[in-house]
Amino acid sequence: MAHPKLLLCLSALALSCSGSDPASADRQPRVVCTTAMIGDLAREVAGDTASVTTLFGPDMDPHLFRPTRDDVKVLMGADLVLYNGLHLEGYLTEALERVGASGVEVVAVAEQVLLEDELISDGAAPDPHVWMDPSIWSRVPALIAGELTERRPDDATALSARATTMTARLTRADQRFEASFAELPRAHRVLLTAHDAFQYFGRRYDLEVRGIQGVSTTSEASLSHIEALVEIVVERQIPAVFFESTVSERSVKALVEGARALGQDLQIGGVLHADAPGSAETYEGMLASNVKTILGALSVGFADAEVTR
Amino acid sequence: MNATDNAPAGAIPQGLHEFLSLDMMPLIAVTASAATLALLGSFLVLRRQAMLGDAIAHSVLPGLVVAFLLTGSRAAGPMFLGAALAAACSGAAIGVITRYGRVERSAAIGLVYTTMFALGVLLLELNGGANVDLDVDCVLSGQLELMFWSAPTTWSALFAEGALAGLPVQPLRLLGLLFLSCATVTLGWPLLRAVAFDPAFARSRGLRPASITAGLMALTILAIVLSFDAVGSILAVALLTCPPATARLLTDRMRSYVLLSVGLGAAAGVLGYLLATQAAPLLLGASVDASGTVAALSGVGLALAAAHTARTRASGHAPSPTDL
Repeated sequence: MAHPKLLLCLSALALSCSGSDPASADRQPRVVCTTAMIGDLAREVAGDTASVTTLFGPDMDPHLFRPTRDDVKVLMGADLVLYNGLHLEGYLTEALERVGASGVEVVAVAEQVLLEDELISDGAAPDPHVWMDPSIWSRVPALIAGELTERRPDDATALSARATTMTARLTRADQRFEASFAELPRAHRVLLTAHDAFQYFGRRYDLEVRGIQGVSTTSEASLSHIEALVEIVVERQIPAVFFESTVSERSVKALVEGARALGQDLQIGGVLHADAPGSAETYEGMLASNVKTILGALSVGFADAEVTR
Repeated sequence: MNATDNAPAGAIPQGLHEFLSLDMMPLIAVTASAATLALLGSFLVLRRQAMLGDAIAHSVLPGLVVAFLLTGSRAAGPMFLGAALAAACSGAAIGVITRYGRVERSAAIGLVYTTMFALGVLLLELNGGANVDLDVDCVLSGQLELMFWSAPTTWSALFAEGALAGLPVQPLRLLGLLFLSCATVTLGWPLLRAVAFDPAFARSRGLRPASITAGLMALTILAIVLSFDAVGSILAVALLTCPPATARLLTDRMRSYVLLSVGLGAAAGVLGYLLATQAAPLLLGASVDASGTVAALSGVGLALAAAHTARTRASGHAPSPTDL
């Protein structure tokens, strides 16, 4: 297929038959998701009624995603595209809108499930990290089931049953996390992370969240901002700061050394998964791993604080 | 019907439809952009002003940022205006510094474009640039892959009303620019040749080198700004300099130099794109970044031409290529 002329000749014939899609009634709908946080839930809900593809790899920073030709091909062949929205997908958003204009149904999941007063904004820019609050994200399975039912009306009961199960699982996890965080002393409830991905998480579990970088991972932390953070760390005796699997470690290390220079021993609390599940592999695993890491590091000296999985 | 990755064919573009949907518009964009840049670059290289292209490519960033901040959109009109203003500013600044700073022209160019680029980055950061879709990365490397077109699947649909509405605009704009540049160069050819070789003589004949320079500069700015979407600014510089420099090594006649330069640019565009999207999946298992491949290919072309020239010159056959 390296030769375009050859390709033109060979496929002139194919064009006439590929016009109608004889299998479209029987074949599985193809669902393409951008993030694993959507893809995992879509796979659970769809079961064997649809094929689900996730564009972003488990360790990929969605802010920096550059689509290849293969990705565009997958998008164009989709029946349903589920993306996060709220500018998480950066300049892929425009391409997604154009795919939508060509007749593929394109749904911005985070924008759909978020109620009006639940959106967190940093100035004019909306915070896209909605999946960090499982009490909100547990609405996603129902949304996906609704979209799939339109394409597979015969499977409506099974789809809705699987969505209900999934939502219940997420709700249970959410309540478990809430109970664990409630045992953490109020003074210890400060979450210091590499970038501002944990605002929704912090609001849900009553943690004060401080990010070293802004909402997107593309900007560098400014020196004055790091200095201000060091002051807060020393003043409030914050025990730990966290890495993120998709963000560079440099600014976190700068903060640790700044605090150490002022006599505050700031520990590295561990690696959190913010924008992709990474080694935690699934959306649920990623939440559980984050909760475990945060509780483990912030409850130092409080042996009775139960670390929940 | 159970596999995730090799689901049966339906709307997934295949064959000619795949070519029309995924490859045709990027191929038009990269070829038109490469040919235009090589054509305009051939005059810059001839007048030893190749670095000016680099300067333009970098110094438009603050212009783009200011235009984006004022209008809040990435519409082509304001973007181009901002870029052109920034480029004109840096052009003027280079002139002033060369004249009053008593430094070499290349030093002045280096000074101005780095300052302008840094100013652009600073403006982005200060205005919460991290949260807008305009980032440095996107200006530097372009997005060829996103110029897809949901092509109709049947011939009748192709000629139906509105079938062409979904065409991406960038490739068409670049095509228009290629025609504009070719027309300008063809009409102004005698003037361009005279100015390139003997500005003093040209002036005595009543021709105005300054107006020609300004006209070429305006086209170059336009070409670089429009090429952002196709190949990105860094790669635009590669296409502005590599094909002309290669052509310069291979021929000593002005007409064949310019034609060869355009040909080499277009060839780098087509071959680079096919290499990245058709050959790379076979060799590496996945398609690679097309604009990067195009720029790398034009550099390889220059290296090959240089090696060829060095060998022929060592054997004493070729005339010295220092003057046309």
